[in-house]
Amino acid sequence: MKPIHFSLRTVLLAAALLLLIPGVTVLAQEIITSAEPGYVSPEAAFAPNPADPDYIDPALNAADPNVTYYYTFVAGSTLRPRDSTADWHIDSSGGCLYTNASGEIFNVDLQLPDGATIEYLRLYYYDTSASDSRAWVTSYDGAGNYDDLITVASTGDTGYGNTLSSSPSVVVDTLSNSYLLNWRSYTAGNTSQLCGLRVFYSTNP
Amino acid sequence: MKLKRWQFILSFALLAGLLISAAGSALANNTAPAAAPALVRSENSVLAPHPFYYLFVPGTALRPRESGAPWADDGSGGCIYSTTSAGVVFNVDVQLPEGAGIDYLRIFYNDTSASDSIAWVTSYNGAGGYDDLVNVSSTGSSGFGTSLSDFTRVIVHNANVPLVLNWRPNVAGSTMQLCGLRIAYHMPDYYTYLPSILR
Repeated sequence: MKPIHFSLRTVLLAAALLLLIPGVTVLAQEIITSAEPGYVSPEAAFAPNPADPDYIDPALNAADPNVTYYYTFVAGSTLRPRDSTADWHIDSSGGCLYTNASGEIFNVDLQLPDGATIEYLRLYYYDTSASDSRAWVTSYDGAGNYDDLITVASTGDTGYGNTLSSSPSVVVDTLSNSYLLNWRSYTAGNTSQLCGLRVFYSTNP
Repeated sequence: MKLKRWQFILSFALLAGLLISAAGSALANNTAPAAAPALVRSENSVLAPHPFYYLFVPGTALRPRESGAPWADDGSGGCIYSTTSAGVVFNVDVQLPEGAGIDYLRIFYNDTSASDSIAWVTSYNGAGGYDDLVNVSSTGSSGFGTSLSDFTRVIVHNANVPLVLNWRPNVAGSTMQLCGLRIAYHMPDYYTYLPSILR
C-alpha cells in the first residue's frame, strides 16, 4: 500500500479546523450563558411578553431603521405629592408608594427627547382594594394650560399586577411643553400602591 | 517537512480570524431573551477601554422616601440634610440609556460627624422585589469630601427595572450633608467576551 504523506502545513491547517468546531461551541456558550446567566433574572417579576404591544424585540427595532423604541421606567417611590398636605409611605422593598390621603395626586418629572412619540404607558401596582388607582401623562405649557395625554388604571384586587394604556401616539414637544407622570390612589392605605410607571416611546430622527 | 515562517503565520492568522468571526456571529445571532437579562455582568466579561459619561445629581434633588422626616439645605441650595431623623432614606429617580453600564458611584458630602452616611443604587421590579446594586459611604469627619465606590458591572435594562439613587445620613443634623451623587457609566457594547484569548 502506498503511504500517504501530509505536509506539516496541511497537518497544521487540519488541526486548526478540528480545534475550531469545539472551540466555537465553547466560546458561544461563554458568550450566551456566562455573560447573561440563563437569561433568567430574579429581577424580572413580569416576564416580557412578545405579544404585548409595548414589547421591544430586535425585529421591532429592525423593521424601520429610522425608528427606534425605548423605555423610561420610573419606580413608584420616586413620585411625590403635588401638595404638601399629603403623607406618603413606602412598602418594605422601598420601591412601591402609598398614601393615607385618598385622592391625592403624586407626580414626577418626565424628560423625553423632542419629537419622540409616546406610544404607551404601563402601570405597575399593588392593588388589594375595591377601588382602582390611575396614572397618566400630562403636558403643561407654562401658562396655566394642560393636557392629560394618556391614562391607565389598575385593575382587580389580587395584589401585584400591571396594566397597559391605549395608544394615543402623543408627539413630545419640549419647546412648548413640559411633561409629568401622575398617579392618584382612590384608596387610603397600603392596599393601593404604585410600584412603577413605564413609558414606551419611539424616536424618528 | 520544515514549516516556513509565513506558512505558520498564515495558519495562525486563519485560525484566529475564524475564531473571532465565529464569536461575532454568535453575538449577532443572540436573539431576544425569553426573560430579563442579568443586571450584573459576570466576571467572565472584560471591559474594553471606553469613555465615561456622568450623571451628576445635586444633594438637594433628593427627597425622603416617606413623609414625616423634615429636611433642610445648607444655604447654598446644593447640599441636603435630615433635621430630625438619622435613618431616613432620601431618593431620586435615575434615567440612563438602555444597555449602558454603571461603573462607579461617587458621593460628595460635607461630613463633620463621627458617623458616615451611605449612598447606593437600587433596582426595583415593580412587584415588591429589589436589588441594591452598588454603594459608597462618606468617610472621615473633616468636612467636604468625596468617596468612590468599588468598580461594578451593573447593566441598565429599562424594560425590566427602574433605577433609583438613595442616601441615608445615619446622623440627624447639619453635620452630615449630601452634596451630590455622580454615576460614572459607559455606553453599551464596551464589553468583550474573549476570556481564552485575553487571559
